[in-house]
Amino acid sequence: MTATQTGTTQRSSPELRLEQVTAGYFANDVVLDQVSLRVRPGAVTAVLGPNGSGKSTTLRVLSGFLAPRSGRVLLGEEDITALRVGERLHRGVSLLPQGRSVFPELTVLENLRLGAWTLRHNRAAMNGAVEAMLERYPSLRAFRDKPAGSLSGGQARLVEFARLLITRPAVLLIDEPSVGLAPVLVDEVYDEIIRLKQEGRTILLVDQNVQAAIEIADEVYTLAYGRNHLEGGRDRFEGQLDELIRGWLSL
Amino acid sequence: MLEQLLQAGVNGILLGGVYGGFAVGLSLILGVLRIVNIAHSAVLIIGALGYWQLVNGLGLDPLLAIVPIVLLGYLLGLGVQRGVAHYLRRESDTTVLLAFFGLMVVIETIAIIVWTTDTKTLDLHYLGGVLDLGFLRVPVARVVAAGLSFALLVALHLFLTRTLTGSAIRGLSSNRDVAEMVGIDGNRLSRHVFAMSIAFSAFGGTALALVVPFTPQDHLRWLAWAFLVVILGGLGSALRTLVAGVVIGVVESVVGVLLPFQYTYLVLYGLLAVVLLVRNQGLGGLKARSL
Amino acid sequence: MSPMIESSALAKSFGGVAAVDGVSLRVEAATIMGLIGPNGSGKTTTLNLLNGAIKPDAGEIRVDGVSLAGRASSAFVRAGVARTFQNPRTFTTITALDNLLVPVLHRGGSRRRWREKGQELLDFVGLGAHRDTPASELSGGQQKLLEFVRALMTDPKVVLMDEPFAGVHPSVKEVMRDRIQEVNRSGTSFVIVSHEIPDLTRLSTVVVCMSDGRVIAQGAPDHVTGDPAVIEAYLGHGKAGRGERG
Repeated sequence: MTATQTGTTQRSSPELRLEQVTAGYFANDVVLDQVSLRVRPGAVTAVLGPNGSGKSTTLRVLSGFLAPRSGRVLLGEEDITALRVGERLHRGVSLLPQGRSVFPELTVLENLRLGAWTLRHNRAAMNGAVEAMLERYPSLRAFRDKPAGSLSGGQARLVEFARLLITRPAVLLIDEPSVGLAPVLVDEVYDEIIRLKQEGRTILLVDQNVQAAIEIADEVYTLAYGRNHLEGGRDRFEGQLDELIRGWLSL
Repeated sequence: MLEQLLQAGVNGILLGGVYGGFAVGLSLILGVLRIVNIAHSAVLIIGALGYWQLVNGLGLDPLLAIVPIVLLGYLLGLGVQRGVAHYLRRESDTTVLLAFFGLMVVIETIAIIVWTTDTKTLDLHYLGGVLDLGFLRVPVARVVAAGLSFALLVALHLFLTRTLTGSAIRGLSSNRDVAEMVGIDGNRLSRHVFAMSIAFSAFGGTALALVVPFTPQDHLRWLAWAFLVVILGGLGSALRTLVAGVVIGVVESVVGVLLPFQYTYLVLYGLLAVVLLVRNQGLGGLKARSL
Repeated sequence: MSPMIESSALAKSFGGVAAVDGVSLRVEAATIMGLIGPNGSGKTTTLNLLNGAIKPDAGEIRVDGVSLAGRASSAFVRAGVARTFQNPRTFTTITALDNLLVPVLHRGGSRRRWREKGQELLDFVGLGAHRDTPASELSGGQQKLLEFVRALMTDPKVVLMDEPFAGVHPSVKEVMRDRIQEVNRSGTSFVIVSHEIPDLTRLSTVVVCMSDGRVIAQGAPDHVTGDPAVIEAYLGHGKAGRGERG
């Protein structure tokens, strides 16, 4: 399989960093309080924490949907804090949101083509990218003309992965990939994330499924009440998950 | 009787095409941008009056004169979006509605000042006259207006379903956040959809002018008609708007033959009620929201 | 003495997926029941079932002994069940005091007395000065407090609260907590869904943990948060012996 067919990135992936980010949604609320983290290439960095700890907000800041009040977002050496969502996508930062994110009235093929929207000025490149995704996930061919809203949870997730990867992004932000999926599919999703890591990408995984996330993570950060709490390699956390949860239940 | 019905049927299809043509602008803006454009009919009338000015006043070819009207409509749309609509983004639905209502009043007033309330009849030039097929007589202008409307609606349908930009527009209206996520510039696209919708409304005005005499105050009646087509046809499909227009046109014409004309409205609104009840989702479960 | 509100074998599915799968709860008088569980465990659906916002596919709901499953939510309100929401649903275009009058519009009695009661409740949560402020001008936390006392206007037997502490300033949290306890002392029961577990366990007299639509633990707060089944629910499901991790 050639590099293009597996969808590997052409260049080595950059590091993604949050530096002392404070962010909130309304005038006075502070959802993230001076949070810092570092997402290394070729590894899975997991961000864990109880509900309300700021995990999703972290992803919103990293992807560009929420501008921080203070602090920076760095991609490699570049400060991308001021860049909007589309501009970050151009720089190779792609988001897999929580839940269903396909366009339901559009067909699978249309969903994929829109995923390659940033390639639209080069039709050959766009068609190549779509074809590469169909190669990577062959079962997509069978329902390429079906409206995405009619797909099952697992099929829709496949489309979402394909759309996530179609521009060959170096940096992947993944939000709660297992929510709402049957256990068998959950395994497939995490296996795919491992595969993506092996391809050298920079991966940030936000997850409430602590067990599954720890199994594939290299680095782990935990958040509590919007602040950094613990951090370390997987081995630091393995075998201590019970304590971790107990801690959350009585913080 | 059969001949009358046939005549009414054909009339209805043609008129229906025109109804679809002038409703599609509203369908687009409501469906994609969730804006209840109450000024839609005001644009229709300005389009009709501008067209009248070009054809009657300047003696331009009635077919060619449609082009500048549509282009001006697009530019007007861009202008309004940048100037007004953009600021309304964060406002409540009521404020947006009121703003467009205000816009409607302004446009109507300008129209009356410039063109007075006299009834205007378009000078059809070479489009005058009637196609006499023996069992059927149709005014040429009506055929032209209907033909153009049909063509426009089909073109819009193809644009929305077969082109990438069309997919982007449908995606944007479906889930704006996800659309931004794949790199679509929602603001820019919205601006052009808005302008397109105004351009379509302007075209609707020219189709109207080709088919009936009109005065500026007529526009509210056309607004009701446009909403009727949009509600019946549902949002999100140019083809359904066309079908809805044709259904309304045919029902209107045929009922007009079979019953005293007062019943036309009754039947039409009765039809609307039935469709809404059966479909059980109104405008496709739509909630108008800010830009 | 019958419980304030109880359910037995409550079940509700959405699109083939069981959101609530045989949930039986008993909320006694003057109890504060904390409802916890990971995302997607069915907590909010349970709350929606308990106030009649949605109808169960199976199971029983009794409010003070009266069976109400399948009835409209207005029947639940009349029976004494009140509800607050995660995103406060105050009536934004009217004043704080008028917000409180809405639930009692259809009841008889002197308007002046209702207004007095409303004012008392506003004072109760420190919003007395905002009587004539449009609700939209109140902060998020103030709106949550407003929604809370609006629920109290009808003297409910049980108040269902969905994330009352989410996203509010600590001072508001404190007021909310104290007032809940005060109202509870006069006999009203509460069922509170919250992911702020430490706050909730301090407040509750009994805690129930749900996972995958079922109740997996219930009892004293410390007992439940230390229960291995609960820890496991929050851990999620991993895959044993997954292949090479790279």
